[in-house]
Amino acid sequence: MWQSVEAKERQKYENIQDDKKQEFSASLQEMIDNSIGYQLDRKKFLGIMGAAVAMAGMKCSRDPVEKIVPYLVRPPEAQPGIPAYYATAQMSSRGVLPVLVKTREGKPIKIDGHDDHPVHQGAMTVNGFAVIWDLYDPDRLKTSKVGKDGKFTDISTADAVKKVTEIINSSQTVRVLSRPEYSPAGKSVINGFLRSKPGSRQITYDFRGTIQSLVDAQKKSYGRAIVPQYRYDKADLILSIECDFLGTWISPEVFTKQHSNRRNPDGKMNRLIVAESMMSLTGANSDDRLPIHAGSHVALALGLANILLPMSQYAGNGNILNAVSTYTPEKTSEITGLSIDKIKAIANELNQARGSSLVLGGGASSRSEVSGELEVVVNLLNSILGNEGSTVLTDVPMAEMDDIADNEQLSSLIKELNSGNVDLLILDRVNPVYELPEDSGFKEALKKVKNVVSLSSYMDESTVKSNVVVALSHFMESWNDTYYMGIYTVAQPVIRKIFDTISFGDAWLQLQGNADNYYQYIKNVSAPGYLAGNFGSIWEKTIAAGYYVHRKTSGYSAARGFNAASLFGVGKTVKDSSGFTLSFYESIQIGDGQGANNAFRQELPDPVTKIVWENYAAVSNDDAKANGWRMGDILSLKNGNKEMQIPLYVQPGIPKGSIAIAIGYGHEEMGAIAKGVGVNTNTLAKFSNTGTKYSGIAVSVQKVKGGYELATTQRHHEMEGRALVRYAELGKYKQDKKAGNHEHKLEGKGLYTPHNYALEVKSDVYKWGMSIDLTKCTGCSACVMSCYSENNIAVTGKKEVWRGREMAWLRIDRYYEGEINNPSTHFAPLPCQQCENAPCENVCPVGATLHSSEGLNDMVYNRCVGTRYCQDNCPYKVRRFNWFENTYDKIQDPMQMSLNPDVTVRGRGVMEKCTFCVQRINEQRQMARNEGRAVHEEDLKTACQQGCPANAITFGDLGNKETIVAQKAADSRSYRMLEDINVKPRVNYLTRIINKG
Amino acid sequence: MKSKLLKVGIPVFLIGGFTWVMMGFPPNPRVGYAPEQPIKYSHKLHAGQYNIDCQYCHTTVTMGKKAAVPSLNICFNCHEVVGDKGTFNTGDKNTDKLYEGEVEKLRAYWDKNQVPNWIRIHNLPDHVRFSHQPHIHAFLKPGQPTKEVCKLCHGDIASMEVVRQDKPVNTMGFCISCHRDNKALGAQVNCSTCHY
Repeated sequence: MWQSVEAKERQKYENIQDDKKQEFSASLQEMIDNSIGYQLDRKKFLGIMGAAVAMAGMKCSRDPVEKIVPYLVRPPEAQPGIPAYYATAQMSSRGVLPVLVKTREGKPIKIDGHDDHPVHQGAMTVNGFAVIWDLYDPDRLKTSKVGKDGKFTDISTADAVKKVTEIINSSQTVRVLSRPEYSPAGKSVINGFLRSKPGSRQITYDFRGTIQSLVDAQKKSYGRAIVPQYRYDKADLILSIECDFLGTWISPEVFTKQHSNRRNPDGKMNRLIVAESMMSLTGANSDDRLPIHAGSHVALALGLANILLPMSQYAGNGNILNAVSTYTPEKTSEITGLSIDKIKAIANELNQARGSSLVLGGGASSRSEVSGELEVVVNLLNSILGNEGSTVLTDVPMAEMDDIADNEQLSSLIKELNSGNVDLLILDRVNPVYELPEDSGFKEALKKVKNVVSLSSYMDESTVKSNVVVALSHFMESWNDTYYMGIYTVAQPVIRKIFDTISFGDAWLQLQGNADNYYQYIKNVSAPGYLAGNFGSIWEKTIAAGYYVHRKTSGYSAARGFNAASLFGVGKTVKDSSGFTLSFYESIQIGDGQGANNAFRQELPDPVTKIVWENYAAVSNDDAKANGWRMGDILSLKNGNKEMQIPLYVQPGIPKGSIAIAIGYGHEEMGAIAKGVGVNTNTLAKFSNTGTKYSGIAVSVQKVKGGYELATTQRHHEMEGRALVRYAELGKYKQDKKAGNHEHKLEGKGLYTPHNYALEVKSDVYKWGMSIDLTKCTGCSACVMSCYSENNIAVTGKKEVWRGREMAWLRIDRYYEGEINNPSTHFAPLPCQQCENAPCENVCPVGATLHSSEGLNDMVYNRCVGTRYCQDNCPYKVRRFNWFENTYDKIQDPMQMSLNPDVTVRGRGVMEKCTFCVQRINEQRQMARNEGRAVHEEDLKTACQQGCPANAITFGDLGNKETIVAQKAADSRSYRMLEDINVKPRVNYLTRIINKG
Repeated sequence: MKSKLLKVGIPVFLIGGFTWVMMGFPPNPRVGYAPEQPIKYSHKLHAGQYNIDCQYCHTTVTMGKKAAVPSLNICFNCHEVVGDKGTFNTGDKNTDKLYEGEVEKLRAYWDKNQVPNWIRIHNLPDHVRFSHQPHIHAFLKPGQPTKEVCKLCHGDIASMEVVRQDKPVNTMGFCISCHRDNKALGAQVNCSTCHY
């Protein structure tokens, strides 16, 4: 196994120390020399001794006086030191994520999945955890502003709303630009505004295009603008064409949960085939991955339809036949770069799994000139294969989205703005200057508008071009409601507004002169449409529970008839282009870029490339070799007169001729963190009346210069070719349960004397351990983010990560294996292994890391003097050292509020590591003992386990044979990493089983 | 300037520090700490003479990490009707005189929607995590007055007019010796019992 291209072509990084400045002005030796060389005369000597005597007589000064401020009237739910959980929901342009917010003393400190939620079942994403730091972002708008030409003065938000109302009253033509809305109340307040203001119109657009193109295609093929339900749990075979459903597509957390339920080698395991032009998380998790040229995805879908059509009920449909018949396997092969045999084999597999397969297509990297092109063909494939009504359900759609504008509406808006006839443009939580492609001309058109009002939380690229900025609250500060997947949620605020802001609902109500506040509006206008029965009690219950099941899926729905006319125009954009073609994708960390001003998102390594704080042009190894490019070169990508310069990254698995770049980077405004990080892809994205082109953009490529450094977390943690991730094919596993899992027996007795638990307390019956199922783990990194949030882990910045000083307690190692052009990818989450024979414990000179009676390797921060011997001796390299005051010196008000008060904030010079969330263990053990019982397995979850949408992580008592973790540890797939060095980890891994069909 | 400071500072520190250690560390400065509080609240009167159970005011001690200084509304459960000038009668003239006007102070806070800022007496270092709840549960028997358990660490608060720190609760030795003695009750002596 090899890890990355860097490992293959190892470069010298040592000489690139840009920071030559020494930390201390003089070395210790110098200081001692100086002091010895000091000429002491008798008078000075006496002076010094006098001072020394004074010091010897000194008593410790008393600690600073601390005050206790009690409550005037303590609310019963506010118990000092006891967390309170509130159910609420996050809403993004991608969908709704129900969450539980953990608050301590009134401050939200952590976001958790909502375990009781009927659809999500606690599933979480990276983004779901990261919003906690958005709430406390010091760069968020603290008050509203008025200004012109980029110069702003602060005014109170109440005044700003008044001012906007004045502007509205004096305007004739008003346009509202907004984002996809999943809130019934939100939709209805904006509609109320439009009704109250004649001459106003709303345009909703979807920046990433995921929802827009999907809904476009649904409308064309089946007549209704909906996001259907995809049932991964019912699909035996999944074919994804450019669709990163495990990472970024619509609701990846739900899809991961359903998908991972079927990643069970002892049950009926599903099979995942991915065809893509970049290396997505879904591709990395596939059983079979087909690299296709950027922009050729529609051809592949049409080619498959061509083969499958004669075997379906649509065989006689001339229109469909016309559309697909030119895509013979030969031609498809030529365009996509796949072999004819492979295309036929996949078609055959799909045919075998009729009605229980699922074809998916979409996402940023599939956006072509014709919006929804791929999705229409995918609809056709699902209809042909009989998946309609079985794995694609419409009885309860995920969302109904009939108001998303297509590009034609957007470009007519831009024309209108350009004509100077628009008096007022209201930007409602959108950032079109950044989000729309440069060639759409939006930026220039905006200058022609008389007044621009922005409802925003940040001074972003569009906001700085506004006349009035109304500061919006974070979702955790405001009321809202959502309707998603048949579930109605009343999202409640969990903290009082930190700054002088207003929730978007209240803003819209006030702008239309409605005296209600948004809470009353939701309760009186929106909720009655969903809640049935005794409204008063159901309303309260819905808020408390965080969900109300409005419509429940039956698991089946009638197959819709496919409208052949929707294929009109499809495939016209497919060209067999030579040279380089670009595709843009959404990254898991940054997404659409709305949360880019969050250091935790920026520092989370990309699950596949492990690069932080940057986007980059991922090119294939062949292309890099052929052109003499190396990692660290800056490439210039040119299309016409548009140019973009971006560092190169050699990414295994990218097909020759394709270049993949993440969107969401390259902000010019927004805040200290987002500004200037990465490159904005919208320079090269193409805007037209029919669609926004993200995929298949032809570019000429030139190397500009070399020597640029990308910071990655992977090259510091090489494991030098040992079989750390074990895997086997399903067929072999069926024959031999230990397939791929070859035990490494220890020879001889080993160095260690085992820890003597008999000396410990009798009542300590727990043996904490963890099991990680590598078959289920997708590497999505939600666990990493959850760990960051729970354990007050600091971010360090790009330079420090580059030096290997990132602080993540839990990292996910990614290994490639096989051919460099299409490798198989393996993920291995690596928390502290809590070794029984812990090498770290032996070498600590001050006893700062010791074995606990429950088998944990305790880390005592206040004892640590920072020798770093333990880090040196750790075979798993999971210990992290604080080279700086990573938190105390860098944290800005009000970010300290996000810290978990149950976990020490580590200072400089202290080692830290995963503790198995010992604060949670202690809490649960105490509670159990108070009640005279043992700890319930379901009560005690580590942060990573709670964060895992795939249920890959199990934690519990290994001593009790009844627990799931003990059963998993005894499984035939179970193994321990580096077991041959006899450190006896408490973490075991389950062999990864791959379904090769 | 800096180097001169170092030249003087290092010998002063080394010699002075050595002497300081050799003389023996000074006694725990917090034991006996009894600062004056914004209101002269007497535990002797409430918990001692009137025998009000500790948990009547410190309500979260069995549930949470903190015993919690009571919120003001708890005071007014009684002081709504007792303790004002004229009705103030503890049965002892001297006591009456000592605390005269204190209830009015409390009422003044209450009327202004303010709270007194009490001065913290029992204060552990920030790297120690202490929770009241397991300790109370381990020692408190059904029907037993809570103060008999509180006494183990806080001393006889019910006899103190001004609360002072009675025992060296801010030292690790105090915690760990008790934990060693009470292994049967489930007390642990792991590092992560208190430090995490």
